[in-house]
Amino acid sequence: MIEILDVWKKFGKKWVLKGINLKVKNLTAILGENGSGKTTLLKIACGLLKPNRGTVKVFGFDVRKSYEYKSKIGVLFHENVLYEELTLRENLLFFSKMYGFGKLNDLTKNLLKKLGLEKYSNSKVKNLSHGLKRRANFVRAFLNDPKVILLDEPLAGLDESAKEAVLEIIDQLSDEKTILFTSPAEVEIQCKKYRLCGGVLN
Amino acid sequence: MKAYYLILKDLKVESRRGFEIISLFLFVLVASFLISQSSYFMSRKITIPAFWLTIIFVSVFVSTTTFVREIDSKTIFGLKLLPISPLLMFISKTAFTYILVISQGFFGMLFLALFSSNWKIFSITPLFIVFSFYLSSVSSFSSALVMYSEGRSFLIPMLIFIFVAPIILTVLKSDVFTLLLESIVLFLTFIALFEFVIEI
Repeated sequence: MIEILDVWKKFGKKWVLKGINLKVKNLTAILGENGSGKTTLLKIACGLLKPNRGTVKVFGFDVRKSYEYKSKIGVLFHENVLYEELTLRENLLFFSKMYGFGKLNDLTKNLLKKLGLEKYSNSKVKNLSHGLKRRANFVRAFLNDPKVILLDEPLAGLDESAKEAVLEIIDQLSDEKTILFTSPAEVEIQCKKYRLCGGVLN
Repeated sequence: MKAYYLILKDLKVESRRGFEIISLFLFVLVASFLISQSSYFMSRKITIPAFWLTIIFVSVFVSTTTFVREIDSKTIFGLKLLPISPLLMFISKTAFTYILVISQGFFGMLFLALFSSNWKIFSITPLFIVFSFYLSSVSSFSSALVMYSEGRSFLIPMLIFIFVAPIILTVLKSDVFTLLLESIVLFLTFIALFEFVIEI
């Protein structure tokens, strides 16, 4: 469970987030135009960015004061966070080991198959297309079988079949996991939807 | 064990950027050749100080491959969200830097010995091992300190030279024990400060 409590954030003189309050237990979407602050909110939610005011708790852990929550959380960023010089398999194994797993878990293997990445396992990430990198980063977010998942525009840069597969995966996993995702456009999935506009969540 | 995986990952990434390793190797080779020629025509007294200078430049080069590269390639986001302490992150980056600095340094000593036919240079090995440790922690910390700055490629050499300045006399006096103490104190200080640096 994620609790976002009275979060304020400004860049320069502009307030991007103005007192965001949100409790996420199930599947939740944050919709908003480009530059509305979705990514900022997600980066604050996972503890990467410090808010000017307010706190975020994941399973009761303040994300700015502890790192225990990090083993329970999976995050898909807009950026590619895989190492370009390593193969996809080497990347996934490295991150798995850092989470304390000796090998890839069943969920990861399943996701690799569903997203058509199995055949690219031994390809270096730098040789993958943008869409394939996005899929690979999506799989990386699930390596530790997290209870809480934050996905920043999970459909961006994907072709239609991959979009369908990602939405299906999100839908399937939403029964057992807390998922918060962002999107610039309406998404065809049953969930709680909020709109971020002018720094306020509606 | 996690520190081992981090170091192994960095070594793998570095080894696949062959052009960087080769250019570093060539720099050490050419610098050693020039130092040996200068010491032959001028004075042998400059050999050791010039060698230390070469090692400092190697550490400047390596600093651009640690935290700075992580932020350039955005992989820092993934790294910061791993369930590891900042202490572990700093120690593993310092160890990775140490491996590169010490390996290049040994090549440098070997080339110097070959070019100048002076095998006595290996007598500085204990000092070199400790100085490399000092440089590695300075290099990693400087890399972390300026990684969010846009002028990082300019700031890193400045910082490294500033951090090295206070121990130059100790190095030139070949006082291994004092240098070891100074290195440990500096390393512990960096560990204490690193959490604040990485969490900015």
